[in-house]
Amino acid sequence: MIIENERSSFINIGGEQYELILTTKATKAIASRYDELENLGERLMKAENFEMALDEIVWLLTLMANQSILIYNLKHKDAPKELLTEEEVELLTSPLELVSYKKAITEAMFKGTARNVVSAEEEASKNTQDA
Amino acid sequence: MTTAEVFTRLYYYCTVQMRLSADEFWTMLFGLFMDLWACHKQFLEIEKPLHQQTIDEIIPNTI
Repeated sequence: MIIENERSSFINIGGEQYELILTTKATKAIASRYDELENLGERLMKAENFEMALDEIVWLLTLMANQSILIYNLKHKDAPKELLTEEEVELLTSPLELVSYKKAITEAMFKGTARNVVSAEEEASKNTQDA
Repeated sequence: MTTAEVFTRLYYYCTVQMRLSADEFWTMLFGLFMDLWACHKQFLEIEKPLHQQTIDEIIPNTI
């Protein structure tokens, strides 16, 4: 498994530290839920009510925290850890810390999609789309 | 292109072209996967690395 710690973020849920990782699996789940990744930020920011914003954050936290557990379980098949559920995350998180959760999610997504190798063709295509 | 099609294509690139396992594909950081795919294309000369030109490269010193 190829994972670099500088491309993830950490969060405390119920007194335990979890690593939030934007894996390919998580990216697919996010893209399926929000149609496109670009819609995610908009949906979080424009969440019409607090409850909806919280639901989205709980879903994202559960998804990305579970990625590190899935990776751990692949390496430790004899002693796997239990995956987090949305219900557990909802119970263990406080709405007061909403800002720090949003920050951790944004950081994990930003670091997870960061690129070190870019082709000239990709950059040209990106510039065409931006124009 | 639908999300399912995009990820089916990425899965093909990773497992068939780059010879990584399914587990490696699904648990790999998305940005890292895109980096590796860019390296693969550059290695096969399908794409060229991004090269940022400086003014010195465009205007020779002799001018």
